[in-house]
Amino acid sequence: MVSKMRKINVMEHELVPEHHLISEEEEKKLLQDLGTEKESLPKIKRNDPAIKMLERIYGPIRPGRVIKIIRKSPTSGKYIAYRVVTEE
Amino acid sequence: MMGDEIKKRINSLNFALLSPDEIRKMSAVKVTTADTYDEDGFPLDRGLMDLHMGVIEPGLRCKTCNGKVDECPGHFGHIELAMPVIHVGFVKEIKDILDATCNSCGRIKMKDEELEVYRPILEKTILNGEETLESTSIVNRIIDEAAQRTVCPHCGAEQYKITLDKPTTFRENGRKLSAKEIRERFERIPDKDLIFLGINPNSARPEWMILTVLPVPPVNVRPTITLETGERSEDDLTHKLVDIIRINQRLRDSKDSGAPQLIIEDLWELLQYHITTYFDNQTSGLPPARHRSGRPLKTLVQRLKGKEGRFRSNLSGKRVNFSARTVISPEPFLSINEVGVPEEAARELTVPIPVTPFNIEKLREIVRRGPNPKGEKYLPGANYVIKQNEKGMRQRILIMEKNAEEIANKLEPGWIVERQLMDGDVVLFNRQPSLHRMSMMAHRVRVMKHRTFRFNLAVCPPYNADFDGDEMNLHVLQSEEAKAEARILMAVQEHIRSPRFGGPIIGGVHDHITGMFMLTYMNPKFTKEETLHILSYVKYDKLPDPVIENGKEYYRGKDIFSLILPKDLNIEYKSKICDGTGCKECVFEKCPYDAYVMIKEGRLITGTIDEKSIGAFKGILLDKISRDYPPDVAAQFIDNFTRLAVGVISFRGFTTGIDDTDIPEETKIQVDLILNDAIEATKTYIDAYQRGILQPSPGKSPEETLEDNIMRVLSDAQKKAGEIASKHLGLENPSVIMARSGARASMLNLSQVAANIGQQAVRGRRINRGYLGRTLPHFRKGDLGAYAHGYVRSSYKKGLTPLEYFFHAMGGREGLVDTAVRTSRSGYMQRRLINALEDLKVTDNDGIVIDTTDNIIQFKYGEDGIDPTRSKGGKPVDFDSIFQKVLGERYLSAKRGGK
Amino acid sequence: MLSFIWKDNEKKFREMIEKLPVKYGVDFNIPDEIKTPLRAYVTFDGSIIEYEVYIKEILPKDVKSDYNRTTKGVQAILVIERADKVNLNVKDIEPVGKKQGSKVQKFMLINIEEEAPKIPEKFRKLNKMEEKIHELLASMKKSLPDNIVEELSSRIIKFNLNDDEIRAVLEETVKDFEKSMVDPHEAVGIVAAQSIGEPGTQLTLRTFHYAGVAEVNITKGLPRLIEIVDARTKPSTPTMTIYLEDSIKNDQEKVEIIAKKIESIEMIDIADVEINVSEMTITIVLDREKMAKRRITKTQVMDALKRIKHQGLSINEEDDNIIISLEEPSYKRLYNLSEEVKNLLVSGIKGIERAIVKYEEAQKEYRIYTQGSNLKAVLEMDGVDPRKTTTNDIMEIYEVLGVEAARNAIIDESIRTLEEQGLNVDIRHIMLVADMMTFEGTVEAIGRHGVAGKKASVLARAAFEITSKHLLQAGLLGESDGLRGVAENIIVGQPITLGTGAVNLVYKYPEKKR
Repeated sequence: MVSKMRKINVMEHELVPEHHLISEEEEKKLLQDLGTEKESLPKIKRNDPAIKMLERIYGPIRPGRVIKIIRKSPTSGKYIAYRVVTEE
Repeated sequence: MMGDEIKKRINSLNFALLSPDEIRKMSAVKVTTADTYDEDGFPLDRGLMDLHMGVIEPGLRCKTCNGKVDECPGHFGHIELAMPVIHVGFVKEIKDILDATCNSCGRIKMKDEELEVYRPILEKTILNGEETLESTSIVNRIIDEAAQRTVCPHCGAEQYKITLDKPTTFRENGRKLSAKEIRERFERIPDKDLIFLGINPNSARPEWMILTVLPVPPVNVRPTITLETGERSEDDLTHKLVDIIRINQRLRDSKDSGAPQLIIEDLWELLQYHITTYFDNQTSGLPPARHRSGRPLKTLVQRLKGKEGRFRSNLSGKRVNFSARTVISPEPFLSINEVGVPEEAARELTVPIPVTPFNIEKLREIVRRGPNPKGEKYLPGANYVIKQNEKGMRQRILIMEKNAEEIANKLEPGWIVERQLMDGDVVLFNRQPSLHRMSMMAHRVRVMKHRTFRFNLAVCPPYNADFDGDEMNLHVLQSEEAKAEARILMAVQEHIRSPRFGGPIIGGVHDHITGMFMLTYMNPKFTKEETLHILSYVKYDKLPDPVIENGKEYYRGKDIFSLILPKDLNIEYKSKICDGTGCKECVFEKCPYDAYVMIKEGRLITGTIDEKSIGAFKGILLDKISRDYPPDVAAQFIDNFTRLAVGVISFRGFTTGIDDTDIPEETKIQVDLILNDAIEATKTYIDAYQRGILQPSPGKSPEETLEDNIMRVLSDAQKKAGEIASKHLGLENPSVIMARSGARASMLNLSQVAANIGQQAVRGRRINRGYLGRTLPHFRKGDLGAYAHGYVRSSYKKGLTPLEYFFHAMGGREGLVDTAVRTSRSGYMQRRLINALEDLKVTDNDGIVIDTTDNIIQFKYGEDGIDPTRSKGGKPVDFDSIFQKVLGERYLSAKRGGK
Repeated sequence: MLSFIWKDNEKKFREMIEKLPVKYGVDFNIPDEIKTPLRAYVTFDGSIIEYEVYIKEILPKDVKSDYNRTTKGVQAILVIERADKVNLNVKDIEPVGKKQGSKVQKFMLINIEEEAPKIPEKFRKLNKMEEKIHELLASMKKSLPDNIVEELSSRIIKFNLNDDEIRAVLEETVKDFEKSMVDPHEAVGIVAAQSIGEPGTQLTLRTFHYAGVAEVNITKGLPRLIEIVDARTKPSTPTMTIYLEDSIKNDQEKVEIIAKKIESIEMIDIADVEINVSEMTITIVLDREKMAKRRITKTQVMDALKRIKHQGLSINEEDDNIIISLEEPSYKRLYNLSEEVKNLLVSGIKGIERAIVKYEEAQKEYRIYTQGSNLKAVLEMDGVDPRKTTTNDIMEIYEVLGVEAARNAIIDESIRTLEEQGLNVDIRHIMLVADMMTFEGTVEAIGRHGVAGKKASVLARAAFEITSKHLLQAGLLGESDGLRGVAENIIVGQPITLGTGAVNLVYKYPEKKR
């Protein structure tokens, strides 16, 4: 028998970096700077626990949106990566 | 001019299916006879060895292209099949299509509106010859959906269930579907439906999957072999083709002569079997076709598959010319960039040199020498000369003593001289298994007498080479481009640091460390004579300042060492002989054990040079020099200290014997006491356990706790005994020098020789396996004592008792088996990693890492854009060095104070 | 944002959401406290929530609406902007509102979240020195990564540098940094694979070798590395490291209690389960001693039994025995039932076989190490620190914490495995492998079922493990190989597109003097 369950915020866990939803204008600028298309970006699934957490803040996040991830990097301190949301 | 060929690049390879028309068009001859050669041994017309398909015998010419054996590439032939046959490789696709299309009108069994939704996506991928996850899943869904419809939505015809009897028989509602019927159905499928089935109409039609014409491979793909006995043996493929033609002929005859249906069907099935086995002799559900001897035939698929198949063994890896392999041996006086090549090898391996007006005289001289120049000293000659003859073809002329002079005179710019290897040539040197890029590096040739490859010992670690019989390979680079790339990118000195961990991988080993230790420990004195002798091995500017004692001049070891250091070097650190246990507080440069290394402006002030300074993986001094100075400075440093070390050690002499491990009687008694106590403690634990009063550790059973305690007690005893013995093993002792300086062995090894070996373990536990309830019949059942479970009390010097020896062997065996299995498992993992990651590269756009389809894997390599090779143990920047440079002594003393 | 549930007519709802945004009239009252924007959930059958609807505004009831659900009794108009498919259990949401009388209200106020969950910031602000350094770097038109700036800043402060010295240090640092950068076109993948694969020969194969450590047996060395790289669903020795909340991490007793709570105990651990075929019963004989040792009460056993979902059962107590009888005689069902009873979880968290408390000297705190892993359940437990508690089961981390967390876990586990054996591998190589494995948003294995099998080139796949047949098939149906990767160029016999092969040299003829 377990004790009371509580809801956890996965974003607080050490292993999970900061996830942010970027706006469509920012998306355009990003793709322009990188000189590439959305399909070339690394992906993240719609039902990823971090995305589900973001949805509680921003509302539903459709596939095709881009997430900005700020990682704590062992080599450079701070590192910014992007992932494009895909279907489950 | 020679070499005017413009080098083109193959841009892409397109795959498609062959249609029967194409097969007939490309064929050089229609093969009808199953026989190969006639009585004279001449290839039969219209037979399987017809000369239209190519030549294998020298002297004959190909009837299609008129080429000789080495010119003709071979040409395909064809066989007209009496009846269509299913291609076994496409069975799955055939089934899918049969399931999904209508049996009368040929369209897919789905309504147009349902299909059109998918058209744009499928057109984008399939019509372009691409296959994505999305497109495959759509196609699969369509096929699954369509397969379920029992009535065609277009023509209304009733559909029946199609089953597959492995491997090639299709049944509709139990009735066998012949290949002919399937082909007819496929012919009815319109082009526009094909993309929904996953087929690109530009490259394939489904009916082509049912063969009506069989292409016959050229003769040189399946050559006849003549055995020693003179008999001719046909290739496996030819044998199979013979079977196919025979049955095909019989089938045709039976059909023409109106034989009963049953016989025709039988023959048809037999033909199907032969053709199936021709493609893949390992088809599941089918007995493999065998030779008379019983050996299964090797047909087309078997030729391509697996480690020995075409892909892995002839395409991804090949045997090459201009290579050599022999045993390796050490040569301390070669630079790390050089490799010693035997004369015999140098005379066979050649480098192509184009003749120009600038080198023509030199080359003339070389050619004149011929392929076997005489004389004590090795001089390169030439083996071949290549020129363009009147017809515009390349001609390779062998140089022999009698025509050497003549050819030398005829030399013109535009010709190519294949000259023998000489000093300074760039070659690739490699040891297998080639686990990292340092397993193959570029060296400069030094042609030497005798028959081994030689190189500087400091280069052993990257190759993982030792001299117990290892062989290594050599490749001679043939083009200027290759030579330039090798010299600049692959040279040994460019690889002093390893990308694996950002530290040096080429460095001092074994005697190098011993030598340096002896040179610098406690700053020994050398007479002028001795100093000059030692220094004769290296290049130096001038003698250091001597020290005068009693009127005689002496030179100190540290000063001698300083001669090979770069002049502006500043660094300090603790050496290996500092074991950190003796001192309460470090006194840095005042260390009485000479264990703190301090180098200022290129002079070694205090400290001993050992493994921590110049050792291959851990050398801090090496690390700094290889990072702060250009590669040739580092290479020079390594060359110098290896030579210096050899000089010192061969001058001073160094030997070892069993007396190195002698310890005085009193010490032996002390060791005995310690071990006795340990055994007693063991007995106490066992007793407690047997009486049930042993306190179990948290989370563990009493048995586990007992084992833990015993192992701990015995291990502690081993350590203590070792420490006591070590007290009597001082640094005058060669074995101790080697252990302390890091050259070879450790104090653990020495204590095992001198004092006590310790507990043997298998699988992390004490020896347990053996007889029922006991390890050996020499013990009672249930004996839990130390000796009964692999405790070896003796030292190596004392010698092991038979029982101890047995247990020791058990422990040792585990290690050997582990190593053996490990190599294959780790090799497989490496192969998969390489295969998955090989295409990744860093772009020139801000350090982004991409794969072949331009997917961004990393936005910046390693998240900071730093090359691990150039890092300092993973860190991009050497802060200590920078602060030292800017602040000077202030930084160093502050650091020492704060340390 | 508040949310509420309302039930609707399926067909009409689906028609409605085909043309969003829409003004939708509802016949229930919406309390004034509720503020927009707002989310609502729609169920059709009452037990599964199928749509999440995003309501931008609530208009007064006399505003004209596009779609009237009921003509009379409209109480409010909702402006609906988005509707997304979801799949939630109504029971998962704890209702806060009341049911009025016997009639279920058409909506229930649920889960009042006053604020949306926050995205925690994981980076601290820069201190003055660090900002100064950034400014100086900007003036030099250069940049350095944050951790270098941090290190520089602390050293500058510690050794008290003046402005000139700071500048000099920065210049030197930038120089050193730029010198160490990786070259463009470097074949980074191969170097990474080799740098990880080569030391593999030095990793032990043996997974044991725990001489007297009071811990669980964990796979280490080469087998563990292979597990990680294969993306195995469950590691051979799953284990968790549980950190406790600050308030209890120094209290041994409390920690022990939690450890006991999570250690799973199944029925067979504390009782004998006997089948009686003739009477179609299962008898559970409770072992009082074992129960006492594990601190299980009979009530816990009874509660556990209540969770068995079978029809036609009756449970009777007889002193220390519990008899379960099956109404319908069926051998198969009886057998299945007995298995279920034996494995029934009486206490603890499923999957956690052993939980051991250990005191960590260095950090001066108690931690729990487990044999077995169930990340989700453990993180949700009170007393457990949900920020640091972790497991070595990468797939669990992926499912519970997401793909980025899985990536970090892969890196951490791999580095640990290598370092334990004394092997030093630069983390950048491992990062590359982890990034490849998580590129698709899931964790893919390295090998023909994952990363390598998805290569674009026909020839590359054919040359690797996969049977040439498979790929020649796909190829023959129209594929084209662009020869962009390493393997295919080697097969074809031309220079590869990495390193020097990525670059073309052009010779420029010197200008002819007129």
